[in-house]
Formats: sequence, C-alpha cells, structure tokens
Amino acid sequence: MKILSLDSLEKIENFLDENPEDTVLVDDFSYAVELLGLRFIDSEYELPIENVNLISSEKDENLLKNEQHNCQSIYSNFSSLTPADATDERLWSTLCFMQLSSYVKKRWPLSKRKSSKAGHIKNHYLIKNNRNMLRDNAISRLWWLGRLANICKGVEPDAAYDILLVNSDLRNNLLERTGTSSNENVLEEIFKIMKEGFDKGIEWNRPSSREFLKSINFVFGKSNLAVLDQESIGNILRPLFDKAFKPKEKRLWPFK
Amino acid sequence: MKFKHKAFPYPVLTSANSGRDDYVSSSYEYDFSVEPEDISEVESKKRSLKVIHRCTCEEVLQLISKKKACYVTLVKCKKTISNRIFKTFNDEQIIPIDLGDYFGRLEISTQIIATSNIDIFSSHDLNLEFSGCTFSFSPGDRLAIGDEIQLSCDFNKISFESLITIDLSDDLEDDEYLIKVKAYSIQVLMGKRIRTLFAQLESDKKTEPYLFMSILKDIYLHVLQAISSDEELKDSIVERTIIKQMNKFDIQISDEPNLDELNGYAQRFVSKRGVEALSARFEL
Repeated sequence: MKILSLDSLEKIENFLDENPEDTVLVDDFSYAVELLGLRFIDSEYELPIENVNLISSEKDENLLKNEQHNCQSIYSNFSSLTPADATDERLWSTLCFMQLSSYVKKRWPLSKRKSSKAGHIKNHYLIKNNRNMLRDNAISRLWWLGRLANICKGVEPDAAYDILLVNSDLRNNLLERTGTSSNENVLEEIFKIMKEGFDKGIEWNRPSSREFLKSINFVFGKSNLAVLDQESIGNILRPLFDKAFKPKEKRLWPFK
Repeated sequence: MKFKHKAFPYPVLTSANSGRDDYVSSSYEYDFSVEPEDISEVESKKRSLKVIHRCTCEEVLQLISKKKACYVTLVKCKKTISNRIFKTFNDEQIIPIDLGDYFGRLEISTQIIATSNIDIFSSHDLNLEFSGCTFSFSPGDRLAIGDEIQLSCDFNKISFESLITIDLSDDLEDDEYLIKVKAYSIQVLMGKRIRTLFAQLESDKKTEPYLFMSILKDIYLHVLQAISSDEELKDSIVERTIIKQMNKFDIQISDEPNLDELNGYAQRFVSKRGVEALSARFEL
C-alpha cells in the first residue's frame, strides 16, 4: 500500500498554517496532491480496506452503537498491524484523506467544527502527538479503541466497549492514565468492576469515575499492582470503586 | 515524577548514585543488555533483554529467597500504551520482546516488589533516621527501585542530520540564524551572508569541522533544550532520533537540566567531526 511520506505530512501542516480556512485537502485531495507536490512511498502494509465498513450517522442516538461497530471493523480488518505499525501517522493520515475519506467527512464534518478549519483538519486527519492519535484522528482512534477492547483476555470485547464508550471523559481518562490502563491485567479488572457496578444499576457519573481512576493512580504510586494476580488486583480495586461511586451524603448548611 | 524524588511510607533501596539515602551502604542496581544489540534494526523484530539484578541488602535478599519479594523488569512504551512486567526470583533474567509491540521511546526499569504481606521488616543498613523502626509491606509495595534506561525503537534508521533543513530568510539580518525545532524536522533559517558562508564551509571537507563546532553544535543544543521542555515533541521523530544519539554516547538528561549540562552534551555530539577533526589536521 502506498502511503504519504513524512515530508508530505509536513507540507500539509505548513499549508494549513498558512491557509487556515482553505478546505482543498478535504474537498479535493487529488488536486491538493498536485498543488502541494505531495509524495507517496511504498509501505509494507497490506490492508483489506475494501472489507472495512464504517457507518456514520447524523443521529446521535446511534452514535455509540456505530462507534462500536466501526472500532471492531477497523480493528478486525487491520489485525495484521502491530501496535508499532499503528503509531505510523503516515498510514492513518493517508486513510483519512484517501480511502476512508467519505466516512471521515461525515463523522467529523467541517461545518460542525468548533475550532478553525485548519485546526479541525489537523485534529481529525493528521497526528500531532500520542493523545491526538488515541483520541482525535478519525481512523487511528478506532483502531486503538478496538485494541483496548480486545486485549483483556478475561473480558469480552462487547463488555469492554460498554465501558469504553459509556462516556468520552471516562475513555479519555483511561487512555491518558497510561500508568494504570497500559497494564493489561489492571485494565481487565477496571473493566470487570465497572461493568459489574453498572450492570447492578450504578449510574456512571463524571466525578465518581474520575475519583475511581484517580484513586487507582494513587495506589499505584505506592504499590505496583500489575505484579499481582487478577484476584488480588480486584480485591484492591473493588473497594475503591465502591467508595468512589457511593452516593454522596448531601451536606446541608450549617456544615458540621 | 521520577521515583527517586518520591516519598514512600517505607525505606526504598536504590542505586548508589541515585541521591536517595534510605539505606547507608546497600544498593540495588542492574546490568542490562539487548541481543541482537542494534534495537533499531528492522530485519527481525525479536529481541532478548538480559537483565542481571544486583542487590546488596542482605535482608531484602532473604525476602526474595523466601519468595516474599521478587525482582521485576518493567518494559514500558507510552506510544503503544504498553506496560509489561516480567517477574523472577532469580537474579538473572532473559526477557523475550517483540519490537512490533513498541515504537518510539522504550523505558526499561527494574524493581524489587513485595509479593505477599511482610509484617516486620528492618535492615541493619537503614539510615539512622529509621534506627529501631520496623516496617510492613503489602503485596505490590516497592522495596527497591533501579534506574531507568531509555531505548529508541524506530521504523527507519533516520540520521539526525537528515532532519535538518537550511532555508534562506529575508526577515533575518545577513549574519543571523534562527533554529526552529519541529516534530518532523529542524529548520534553520539564515540571513543571506551566513547562508552563503554555510554553503561554502559545507562544501569543503577541510572547512566542515568549523560548522560542527558552531552552527551544528547550536542545533544540537536547541534540540536538547526543546525535547527537555516541550511536551509536543514527546515521541516525535526528532526526539526519537536524538535519543538514539544520546544512547550512543550513554547520555541521560537529568530531570531539570540547565544550559551547561545540555551544552556539554551538544559539544560531545559534534566533537568527533569538529574539534577532533581539526585537532588531527593541525596535529594537536
């Protein structure tokens, strides 16, 4: 498969810096290739792109279901990629601008942008850093979410997606607290405990979710939980979840 | 935060030069090697990490022999969100790794970790501050922490100099130059006269060392400063390439480097093609 070269990505970035409102890269990429003198190089990637079936819906109620479908479609069809391959900004940007551009345009329409057009294109088509690769690039984020949902041996991908897609804040916190979530056995227990709790009717809420993950980080500061067996990790994390999601007592004035 | 600056509710054994003095003379260090040695080779992705743990604290060694604590080697890669832990009760460890799992900066470190509850622990070598104290450890607590080693794994063998682009700038004075460190490249903007001089010096092997002693040294310094302070450059191609260079010279930048430290490293990077080349010519 041919992919954009690194110097071409840099040319695209420079073009966006100099022409922040120009949308030629999204509207007519073939023309942009000529205009900017972009170069393609041969890569070792052989991906069955024709089998990828991405759904983009304007309706918000289908968004989570679609996200799960799309993550699974990208991750299973691109299963030949190693994690090292999946950090290749050249691959993801090529797919965004070319083979999978119709999905990207619908899922991340320029008309709904909050930032400048250049900022929007940089966010969803290019990869500036790790955070951007995991959260924002329209295609790479699907692969990495798919991987997170599929790496824990003791948790079914469907159950993992239920947690990962419950809210973007939780997802981002899991992805960014790499000290904890990058340990597969710890992540597995986080998934299990949260799933158990939510199945029992505990409702997700941002402060409790953040408190739970923060308290895991705090424990990690003192102890390396990843060395322990699954059961011991669960025994340590479960009380942290219970405490974080315990209904908070309302404090009425005057405080005592 | 690096572990050596962290407060723990118990004494932690570290390497002799870590600056931490919970123990008076005991230390925990390790020897580390990779086979095949060149981690950036792409032909085969399989590597073996050989780690030899060296702990000199009798009391900690006893815990390991009783299997109440173990040695662990941590292989961490932020870019691929990977954090693998390899445990052993032996002081020698061979760890198979697949480079397909890692990209960019690979952080290797070792620890000695409690594997079960240790109710009463003390050592004859504890700092006087702790004299007479006993400590308890829970499973997962870190008894000892080794220094961190950083390696760089990359797709291609990109040389540092290939990332540098020299451009003429009309906005600069004739003799001025400006260095811009980006994720994919290092751009040097030059005024007219210095650009011409640069081209002249670069074209002749005899004069090239002067460039290494001046502008190239400045470029290295700027890049070292940028990667020490700019979060946006973390795991960028420029950072990965300079880390390879640092590994060659066995250099680890401190947590809060000052200008003198970075300047010293920059001088070492260019020494061979700068001062050494000129010294040889003048038979110094």
